[in-house]
Amino acid sequence: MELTRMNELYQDMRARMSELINPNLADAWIAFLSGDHPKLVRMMKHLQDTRLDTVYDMSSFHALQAFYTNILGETGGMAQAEAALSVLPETDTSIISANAHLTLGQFSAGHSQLRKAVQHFHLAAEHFDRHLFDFPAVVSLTNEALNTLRLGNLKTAEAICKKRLIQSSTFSDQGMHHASVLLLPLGLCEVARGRFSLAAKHLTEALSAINDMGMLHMHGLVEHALFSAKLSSGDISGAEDISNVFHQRFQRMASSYLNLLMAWFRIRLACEKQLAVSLADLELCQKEFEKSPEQIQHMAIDAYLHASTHQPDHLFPLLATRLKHFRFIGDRLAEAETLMALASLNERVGHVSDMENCLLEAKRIEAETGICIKPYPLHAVVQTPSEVPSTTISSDAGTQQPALLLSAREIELLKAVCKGMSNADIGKNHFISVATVKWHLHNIFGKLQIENRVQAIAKAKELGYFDS
Amino acid sequence: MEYIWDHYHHWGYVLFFVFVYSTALLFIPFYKKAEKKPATAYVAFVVAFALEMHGIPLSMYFLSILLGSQIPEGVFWGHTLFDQIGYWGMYVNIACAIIAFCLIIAGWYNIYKRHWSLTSGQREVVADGVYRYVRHPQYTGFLLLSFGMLAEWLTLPTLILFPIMIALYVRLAKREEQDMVKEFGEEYVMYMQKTKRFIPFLV
Repeated sequence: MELTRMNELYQDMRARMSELINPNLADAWIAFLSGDHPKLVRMMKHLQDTRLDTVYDMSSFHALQAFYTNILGETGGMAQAEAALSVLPETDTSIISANAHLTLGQFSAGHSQLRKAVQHFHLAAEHFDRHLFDFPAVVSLTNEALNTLRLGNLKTAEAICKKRLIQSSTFSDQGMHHASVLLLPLGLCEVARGRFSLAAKHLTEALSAINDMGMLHMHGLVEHALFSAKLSSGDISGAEDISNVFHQRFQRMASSYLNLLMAWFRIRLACEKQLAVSLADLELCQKEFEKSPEQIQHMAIDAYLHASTHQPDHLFPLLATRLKHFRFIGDRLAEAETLMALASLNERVGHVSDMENCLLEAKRIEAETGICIKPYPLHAVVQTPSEVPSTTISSDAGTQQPALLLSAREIELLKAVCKGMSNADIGKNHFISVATVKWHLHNIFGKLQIENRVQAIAKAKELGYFDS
Repeated sequence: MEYIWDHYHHWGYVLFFVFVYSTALLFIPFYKKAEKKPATAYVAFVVAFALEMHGIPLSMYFLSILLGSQIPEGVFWGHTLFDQIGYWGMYVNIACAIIAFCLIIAGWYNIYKRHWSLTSGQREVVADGVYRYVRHPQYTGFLLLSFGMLAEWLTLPTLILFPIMIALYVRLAKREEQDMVKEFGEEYVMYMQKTKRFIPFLV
């Protein structure tokens, strides 16, 4: 059932393209769009020898060549995409020009030139609409909205989606169905705003539309977002359903991205249900860290922050590099995510002022753009300054072994105190500020029910920490 | 009796004036050659102004060739348009000077620690404080200082130098912005969209 609808679409595309370009080229394009790789390879080999006379042929060929180069995993796709557009006259508004803009938009987005990508997607949609080529127009608009969202212009992205959705609802059901793909960027905007139930509603509809249209490449993105939305709104069983369906469909596809996504699903579900996290899954995420800082999927960092209890020191420079990169390319969404991750890390190691700085900056982004990232769950060990040690000296704490009350960090600092180091020295050695040292010591003294350093040393001897 | 010439040949005043107005230059770091031209123009402006005001009224001499010796006070000598606006020229100058010095010092204060004194990798885009309203507060400051001087005492050299100064500072500002975009990318582009170059909300 799904296939026939897409087939109709492809036949229509082929017919329209053949009016303007070499029919073989049109066939090659359809082979690419329908994912028929063997046929595409054959046709590309054949086309290398064909003479391309018209500008349209050349442009169309360059665009296809760009994607083909990408599939082969080679570089040079961007140059081909640029060529596809530059061979056309500037005033051209045909579907070939639209296709060139769409191609260049995709490559710009892939190379993190977000603003340029938005411009090209916008023009692609305009030109496609001029020729009443509905589905490609919707695809262009979806991409435009996605990248506009990344740039932090939530209002504009939402406006793009809503305008087209309203327009399409006045046409045939066919039109409405195509336009439902736009519920994906709209749903992502709602996730960014923190409206999770509404987001889940949009994304569920988008998912069914994407399934029907057979748009395979959009799958990871929509399930990831839907899963996040369900988890954040507390619907754990819903999230589990998403994960299961996804596993059924994509388990056997050999894609590192999809494998990472499935591992992330499993890790998050395990954390939510407070079960043990599979080591294999964590290792998969760990492998992600071998890539260069800008290439790492945020999922891996997210998994780490939820599941791992190791010292995260190596993550600080990584996240700092990522933050700088995202600021450079203007990806406000990723910037906000990274800031919250940094805040969580800082909180974990007790860098309270750094954590506050990160949270302040995230707040600033929220004020500017409306992007509101959910903070990570507070780590059980570190408490907020307002909950000062007096609350830890409860009856429960009294019955517990004092040694168990102290966190790893606090034990470290206690040992440092026993060595006779001053607050300033401790700060220097552990790369924290004197204020943080004092705060930790305040907590330690409270937990151990002591009043000064001398008593601390005595207590440490008792507990067996004084082993230098 | 008060003679015109009592007002001139006061070289001490000239030096003092040039000195005071030149202190503004202390707050701009000269990291690139391109930055020296507008600053030189500014110093030339100040010197020309001080000379005309307390030293030798060159404009007056020049104009008297054309117009004879009956030049009314306020036309290229004395406070500009004294007969029409009286001491308002001087008040405008004082106001401009105060605002300008505030801008220049605030600009320095906001940006020195987070940007100028750091190496390339550590710098940040500064978008708070004065920089939330203007992108180049110090250049606005210098142009305002010059305008204030013009408002108080219009002279030929300064009248000719002022548009040249504006052109030089605008060119320098644009060049610096290009460098910033190269270093900070979209972050600076977004900052440019939100904040105006010289006058808040206008230019």
